[in-house]
Amino acid sequence: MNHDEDAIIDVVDLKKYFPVNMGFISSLLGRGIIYVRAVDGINLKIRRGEIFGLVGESGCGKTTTGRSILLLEKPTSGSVFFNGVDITSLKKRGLREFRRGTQMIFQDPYSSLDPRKTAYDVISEPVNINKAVHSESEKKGRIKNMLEVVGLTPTETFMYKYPHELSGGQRQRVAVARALILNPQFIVADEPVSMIDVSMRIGILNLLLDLRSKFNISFLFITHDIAIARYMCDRIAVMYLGKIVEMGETEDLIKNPVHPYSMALMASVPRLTSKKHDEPQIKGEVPTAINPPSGCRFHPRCPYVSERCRSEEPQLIRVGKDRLVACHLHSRNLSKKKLAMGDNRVLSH
Amino acid sequence: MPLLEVKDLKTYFYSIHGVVKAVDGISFHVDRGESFGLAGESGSGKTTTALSIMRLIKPPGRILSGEILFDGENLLEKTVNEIDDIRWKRISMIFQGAMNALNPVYRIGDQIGEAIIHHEGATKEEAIERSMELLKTVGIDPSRVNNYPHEFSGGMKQRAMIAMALALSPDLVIADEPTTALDVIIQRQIINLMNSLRNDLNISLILITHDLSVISELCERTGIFYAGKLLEVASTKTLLESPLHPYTLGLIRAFPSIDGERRRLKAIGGAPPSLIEPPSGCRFHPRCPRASPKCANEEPELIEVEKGHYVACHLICPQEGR
Repeated sequence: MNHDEDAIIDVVDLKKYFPVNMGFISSLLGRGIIYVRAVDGINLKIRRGEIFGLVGESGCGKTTTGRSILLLEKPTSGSVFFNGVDITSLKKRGLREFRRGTQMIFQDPYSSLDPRKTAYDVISEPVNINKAVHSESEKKGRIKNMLEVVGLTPTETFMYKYPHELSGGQRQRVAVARALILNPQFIVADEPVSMIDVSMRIGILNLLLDLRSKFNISFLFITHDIAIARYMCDRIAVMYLGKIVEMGETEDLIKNPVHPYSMALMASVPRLTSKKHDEPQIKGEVPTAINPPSGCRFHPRCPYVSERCRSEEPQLIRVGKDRLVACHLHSRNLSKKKLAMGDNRVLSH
Repeated sequence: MPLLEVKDLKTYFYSIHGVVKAVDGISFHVDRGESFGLAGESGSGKTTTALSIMRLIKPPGRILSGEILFDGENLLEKTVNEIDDIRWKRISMIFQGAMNALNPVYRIGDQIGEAIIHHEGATKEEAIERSMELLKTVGIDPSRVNNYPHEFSGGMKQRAMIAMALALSPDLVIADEPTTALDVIIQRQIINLMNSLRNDLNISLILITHDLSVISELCERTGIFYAGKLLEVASTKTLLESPLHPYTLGLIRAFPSIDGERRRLKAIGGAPPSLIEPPSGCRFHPRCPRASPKCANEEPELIEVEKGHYVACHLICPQEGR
């Protein structure tokens, strides 16, 4: 396979299905296993030093994608290349190397830290497991240094604090320090500020931005908040029911979405400015990923739906520099202008 | 006379760790037909204020002092029976977390109809009929009246909660984080629904949220809560465009937006304080970039600095405006 030198992560046709727990009778009757198709064939490349955002509504497969890329979930099929190596085929030693080079920051710092462990214990655990230092004093030095990096100073005080003695923002900083201690090249950050008080969110986000510029770490940044994605990400992908429907440069995609779903999503975001805008209203809610709609998965809610959308699944195709979209409106070459001009049919009830 | 006037309300919780001063002397009013926002971080006292107005504070919590004047009558002096006549009939509430606020073993129609039967002595048939009308008002097919909550999606449950709050045509609805757990597109639908209901039914609304953009879409005036105090009250437009209190300013500056210039935002340092031993003087002073010694010693009063614009900050002089 041909690999992009710039890509630190290259995801190829990744699928993750979860079997649904069926009743005893159904299994006796030998009915086939039913699957939730959480992630259903996605492709994306994350460039070195890039913050790549995954946005979408709950249940669209963002978190499963992130977890599968780190092999926290075993992919059902597909490949994930990390620095050109397919990690899905790695064995023990290679796998350990991969795990050292990649880390995850979880959503909820209230449950991702062990309440019986001090910040020092939490941050030193990856060091101990990987035997990354030769002496206790070296370890302590590295942990002190890391606490400084994440802004928990004076370090001597914070080092021996338990999670209950820390605010949500400080806990998330401990989690960030734990993720950083082995100098990873790639971090998956899953809604890292959604549980943090508003006045402290920006502090955490700025910290992640600084880490990127200081250490050239690449991020997969998962969020449902479009404004936060805009603040953090170089490029974003919009997911719907296990598929990527649109991908592109962040600012450009938010300002000029071309997929009907992205258009509705962007138009729905509440705004601080009093500017009145046409209200987006696509009907209904996201269907289940157990038996997703045929053809384009968005077709039952799409105001532009045509016969072809019901039967044929649209592929993610390039429609501009750095812009990909999976929609028959674009493969059919229907005037992009009409959509971009904000034909408000998507927006009417 | 405003519809609701809260004067110097104090509600404390007597926990084993000490006295939590959840709401510590706040005053504001809501006019008839007006939509008033209460914004603040978690634990700043927003929900406690709402529950105090509803007289739903349970031990170890206690309303210590203050007045809650509703239509000129002090709710804190009412007997339990008198409050029962006001609660839900005249003031109702949309509780936080619609997903969990509905009882899973009762049909939606029965849950909406419960209040109608209890307060108006309607028969079950009448109540179901009213429930169907209410479902229609909030955009749900009335034939779903016999469904159970698990047959509803998240957005529909939130709509059912709104229908429940509207069941007895109240004068005032208190909505506690009504869109918080919802996805972006559903959130937009609920915001639009609440705006149109407010126009059609002429109800007053108190909206509680931590999200300034939701406030901006729904509220005419807004109060900013911090550690049990109101720091600033003004029209939403004034508050967002020319805030005076350093905390409000910090919050707005730290708020990522999808409009405007893409630039680095500045965080407010530190973390919200403990409400058991709140800081002396101004409660925001340990985090305030402009704090002076006076701020640590003396508590600032909420004063009107411009018409309708109230601020509690020593830096703001009422004579000069700012």
